[in-house]
Formats: sequence, structure tokens, C-alpha cells
Amino acid sequence: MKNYKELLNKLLTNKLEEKDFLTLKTNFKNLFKKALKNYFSADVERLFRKHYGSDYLDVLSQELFLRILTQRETLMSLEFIHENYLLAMAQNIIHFHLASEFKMLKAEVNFNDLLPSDDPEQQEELKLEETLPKVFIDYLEDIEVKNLVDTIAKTFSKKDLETLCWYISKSVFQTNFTVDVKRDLLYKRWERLKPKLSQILPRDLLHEQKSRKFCEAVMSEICQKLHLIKK
Amino acid sequence: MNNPIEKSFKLYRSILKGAKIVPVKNPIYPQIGDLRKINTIPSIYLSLVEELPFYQEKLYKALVLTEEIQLGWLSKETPILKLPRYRVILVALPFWVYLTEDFLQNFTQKVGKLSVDSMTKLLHYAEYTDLNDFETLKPIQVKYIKLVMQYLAPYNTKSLLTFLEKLESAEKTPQVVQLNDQVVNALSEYTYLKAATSRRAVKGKNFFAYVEELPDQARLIVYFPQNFIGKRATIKLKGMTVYEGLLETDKIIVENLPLLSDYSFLEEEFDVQV
Repeated sequence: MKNYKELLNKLLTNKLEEKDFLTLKTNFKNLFKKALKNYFSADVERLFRKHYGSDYLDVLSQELFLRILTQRETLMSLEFIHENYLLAMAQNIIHFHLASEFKMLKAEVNFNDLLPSDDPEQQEELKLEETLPKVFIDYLEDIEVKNLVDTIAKTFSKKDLETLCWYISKSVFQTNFTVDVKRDLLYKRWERLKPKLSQILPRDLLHEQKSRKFCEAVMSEICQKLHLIKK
Repeated sequence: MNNPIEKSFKLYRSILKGAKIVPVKNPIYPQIGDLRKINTIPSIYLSLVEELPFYQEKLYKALVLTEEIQLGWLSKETPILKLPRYRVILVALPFWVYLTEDFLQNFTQKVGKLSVDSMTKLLHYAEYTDLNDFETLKPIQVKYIKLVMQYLAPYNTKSLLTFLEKLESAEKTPQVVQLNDQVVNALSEYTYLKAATSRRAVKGKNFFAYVEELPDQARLIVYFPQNFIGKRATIKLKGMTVYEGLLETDKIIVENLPLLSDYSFLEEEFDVQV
């Protein structure tokens, strides 16, 4: 794996030549591409494109340069700067922009703020945010729902899955999908399935919009893929 | 779709393996309310919420925060902290550690100050969040939080151990000095001294001592001011050096003292120089 020690040393000691700078910039853009692909959904990438334009990778790579300046002391002490360190930083920069609902770019960066010698006593008291913005929560919930559906698909028996699909299609989507099982039996199975489901489903699932996401994911990832329901 | 959280976790784990905590260039003394960043990559943040004084040192109760939002976020209850100056967003993890002032001063950077209300919320979150509730729903996040706990354990345990060791050494195993025959003989002139006082407590210039009588000998238990701990001292009795070295605790025991009827001479003849 690539060692960034030499290039970053030059950057942090102000000895970076233009050709090195261009190499770093290209590498950084690739790192963001990789981070978005591996650690986020395609929706997140679309959001960056929408808010920052088609050169969003340029914008993000500038942020990584800034981040490296703030981590100067720790980075300089390392003998080997693994690409993964920068990849994790890239990931956290993406978090920051998601959490700021893409408004932070407009706020000007004050380089003096990033100097390590800056006196933290002068700063205002920090306060907790009420919550993450909707766009971030949506994203985190999507992943959570996906994990949940995966767990159900892996651990439930075919009978249980069939019952779940029948119930959701009937009571959530009011559709007339049918299953090759008698109605009475399905109701009995559903009663038996409920406690099993309540063990793994989060308490808030049935009261929030997450439940809709969950039901949609069950339908598309389980019921349709496994052909458990018929029209 | 591959699970992005699982991938994030694997990346984090691989980085943490090689993580090294390095000393900071400009140490700032810790205070309650500080938001601090451990000088390492990946970054780990601490909010100092409580101070536990013990002898010369202080321990701080520190709540842990992370930049790894995907891995650290458990629910809408999870506290969020934005550091606009550093362009960083943090989430709280539901646990705390105890760290020494020395560790905090030398291995963490101060990045800000938290409001009292925010500290209370962080503490409340850590106290009331049970990781077991998330085992099935967010297994990777739980694994991640346990990994951070594990990573901090040596510093955490070390500070607790240091704390206990100090407690123990101060309470149970003080340094013991045996008087040699030469000193004991020099004290023989006091053997036939008539008791002027039955006091067993002796107050010197810079010490306070208590004589404990055993069947065949006496022990002098000497207490020093706390600021003597860690300093080199020379202890003399009747002008003869009985101990020279580091004072590990604020207490030293001098054994093999002859049984006498009066020990008040020690106020004059027992001398501690730091």
C-alpha cells in the first residue's frame, strides 16, 4: 500500500513542488471516489453532485488538504503514512458535509482557525446539536433497514418469510398478492411470527417513516427476489 | 449491495492496529469542560466531565466521542457535536474512561470547551445507553464501540491502576527503614530516661510521627507533607543518616527503635531534609 510520508512531509514543510501537488490532488480525488463507492450509497454521491456540481471531487480534495494541515503534528510523527489514514479522513469529511447539509462550503475557511497554536480558550463554548440533519438520518436509516432485511432473509425460515410477505402486502400495501397457503393457517403463522419479529425489530420501527422503508425493502429484497408472492 | 458499515469497520480496525499516541508539542493543563483530542490517528475525542483528586495527582472522568459517524451513531438519542472551526462532526459513544492529568496534558490537544448542559447530556447518554439493546440491530456499531473501548483500555486501566497502586502504597505498603546497630546503640542514652511525658506523637519541623510499641521494639511511623512525594530525602537520627533516597509515598516507617519510656527527644534528633 502506498506510503504518503514523503509527499505529506513536503506539503507540511512547505516544500511541495507543483508536480507533487498535482499528484497529491489526483490521488486525493481518487480517494474520495473510493470512499464514496465503498462506504456510502449511490444516493450520497448524487447529493454531492447536486450540491457542489460535477467537480465535487475537486472540492472535496481541497478539504482533505485542509484536514491534513490540522493533523500536522500527528502526521509528522508517523514513519509510514498509510493510504488508509487518508481514506478514513476522506470518509469523515464526507460525514461533515452530509451533516452540514452541504452548507459548509459557502462558509469561508479561515486559515488562522486551523493553526495548532491557536488559543482554544478564546473559543466560544460548544453546544450539542439537536440532531443530525434529515438527509444524514435518512442515509443511516437506509443502511439500518438494509441490515435488518438481510438478517431476516438469512435467519427466517421460508415459511416465516412467506408469512411476512403475505402480511405486509395485505396490510401495508393493500395489494392482492396471494400465497399458496390457507388463510387460517396464515393467520396462525402470523401470530407465531410476531414475537420473533418483535425481538429483532427496533421499537420505533412501527411508528416512524422507517417502517415504510422497512416494508418496501422486505417486498423488494425478499418477497420479489424469492418469488414468494403471486399476483 | 455490500454493507458500507461493515467496510467502514474493517477500515477503522486496520488503522487502529497501527495507531500510536504521540506527545503533544504544546501541552495545555486539563480542566473540567475541556473537549480534547487524543494525539493519534484515527482521532478520538474526550469531554472531561469530572475530576477526582487523589494526593498529588488528579484523575478525570472523560466521555468519548468519535468522527466515525456511521460506526458510532446508535439512534436519534445519540448526541451530535459540530466543530465548525475544524470542519469536523462528532458523535458521542456511550462510555467513559478515567485518565490521569499527566496523560491528558501530554497526549491530548485541547480543541474547545463544552457547555455544562452539553456535558450533562453526554453523561446522561453514556449512563443510560445499554449496548446490549443494539446487539441485534446494530451489531457492527456495537463491535466498533467495543473496539474503541479496548483501544483505550490500557490508558484507562493504567490510570485506574496507578490510582489504586497509589492508594495501596500510601495505605498499606509504606517504605520501611531499619535502624542499624550503630544508631540503636546511640539511642541507649535515652533508655534510663524518666518519662517526662507519655506522649507517643512527635511533631518535628517538617514531619509528624507516631510511635508504635511492639513487644520487643518500637516503630516510628513518620508522615510527611504531600509535596515531599517523589522527592529525594535524607533522614537523620542523632546526626547519623538512616535513609537517603526517593520518598515514594507520604509515609515512612522506621523500625528497630528501642523501647523507651519517652520519645520526645525525636522532635530534636529526628531530621528530614528534602
